[in-house]
Amino acid sequence: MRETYWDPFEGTQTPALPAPEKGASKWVLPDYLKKLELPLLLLAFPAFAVAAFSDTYRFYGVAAFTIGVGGGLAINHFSDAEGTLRRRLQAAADALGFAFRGLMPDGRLGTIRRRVPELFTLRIGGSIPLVISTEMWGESPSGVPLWLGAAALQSAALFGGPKQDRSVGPETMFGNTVMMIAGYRLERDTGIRVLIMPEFVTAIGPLDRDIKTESVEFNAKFNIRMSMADGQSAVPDEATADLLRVLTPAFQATLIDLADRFAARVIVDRDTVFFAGYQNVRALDADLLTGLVRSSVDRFAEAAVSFKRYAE
Amino acid sequence: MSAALTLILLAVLVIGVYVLCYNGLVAARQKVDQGWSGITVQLKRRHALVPNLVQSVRSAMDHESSILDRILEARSTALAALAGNDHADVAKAEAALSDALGRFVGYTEDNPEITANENVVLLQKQLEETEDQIAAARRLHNGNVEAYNTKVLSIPWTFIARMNNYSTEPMFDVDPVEMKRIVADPSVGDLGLGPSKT
Repeated sequence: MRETYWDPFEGTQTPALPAPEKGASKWVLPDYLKKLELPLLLLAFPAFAVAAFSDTYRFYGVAAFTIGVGGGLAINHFSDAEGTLRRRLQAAADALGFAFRGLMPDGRLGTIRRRVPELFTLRIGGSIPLVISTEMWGESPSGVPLWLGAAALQSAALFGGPKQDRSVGPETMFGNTVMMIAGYRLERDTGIRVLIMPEFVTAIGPLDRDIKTESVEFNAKFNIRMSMADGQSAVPDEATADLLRVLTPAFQATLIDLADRFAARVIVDRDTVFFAGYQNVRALDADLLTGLVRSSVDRFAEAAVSFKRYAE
Repeated sequence: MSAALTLILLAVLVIGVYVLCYNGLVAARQKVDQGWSGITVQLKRRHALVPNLVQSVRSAMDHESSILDRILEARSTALAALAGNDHADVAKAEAALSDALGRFVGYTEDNPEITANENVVLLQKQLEETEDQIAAARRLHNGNVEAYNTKVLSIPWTFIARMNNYSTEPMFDVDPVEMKRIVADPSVGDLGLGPSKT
């Protein structure tokens, strides 16, 4: 039976949910081979440079590039990496009791990107763009209808900020980066669009020109911008009162806590809140990683609505 | 480069550093004041809610008026402390008010019929949210104080702070003894409202 869920982009969604995927049917590669995927792909970069610029070692460069790309992609393919990552998110959705859609229909991602483009844009010195490939619908434990967009990516620790790392199990640099966006409705229309993104590293002195709150700590962590709900009109002075009603002390204190845990960013678009961020989880064992991704999504869903009442 | 030019460049450098540090100190100090202002907004909101709450439950608690009298007395003290603007006095008075409200909540938990009134439930919810906002505002304020104090005590700001009589600011903390009382389970028996201890 198909159910209808609240959706921040189209009002409601009655998604056609595919049958739950079973476990991996492909070969199970040994751990030592899985470990080689990223190093092999990384090897391709210097190998390409050698092949392109060195006459003496061109042959070795081409050979190393071929082995790096070919080997990395082969391991990725035979270990069914994408399917594994998707099943991890499905397990997270099941644990939350959410409906899960592993493959977005055509145009859906475009609709999402048009509504919250800032979350998908690289802000140099500010924040990395987010990626989502799956969706979930359900209710938070407090009964708030919640939409979650998520993606799990293969990662190595060198790509993640130390504050977002969660080292669990055997010491390893390998794991997953779980990127997530949550959307839910407030019980009032704020009338404004507030963008709260990680602060730029260059925001010093005269370059630090965004909206400031009363908190030094909050200002240091977040870059605040505001526009009117229609996205066109200039922001009148009276709108500052609307902004202050959203950025209450408890709202700010909660976001300060979440800033390091999820590299958090928030968009309050009139009556809808989008809370986004990512978390790195590390483990080489597949089952352990599945558990870590599940708890990461679970904690994120809880965190997303933790400041809801403070903005209302 | 002539000695005169060197001296001029050095003087410009010193003045530039002085101006930057002084402005930084002033900005940090203003944030401390803003943070304090944020706390007082929330405290005033709580002070405004209390009489409504007391009024709403007065008839239902006619025989236990000592709890309500204690709340009103604590509120009056808190209002006076806030007007005096002494942070330590405010902290102490607000802790006493929190304590009195905590005892009221403890009593209503034992006597749920008091909060059967929809208006009381709403007021209690607002009060609870205000407590959250006060705690958060205190945290933000203390963060500002920490940033300001770090500047006042660090080189080169410390020299400029001394020249301009800027000194460290106290955090807005609840007195540890008061805190111990607040976190303790509200005991109706302590007020002589429960079964008598003989």
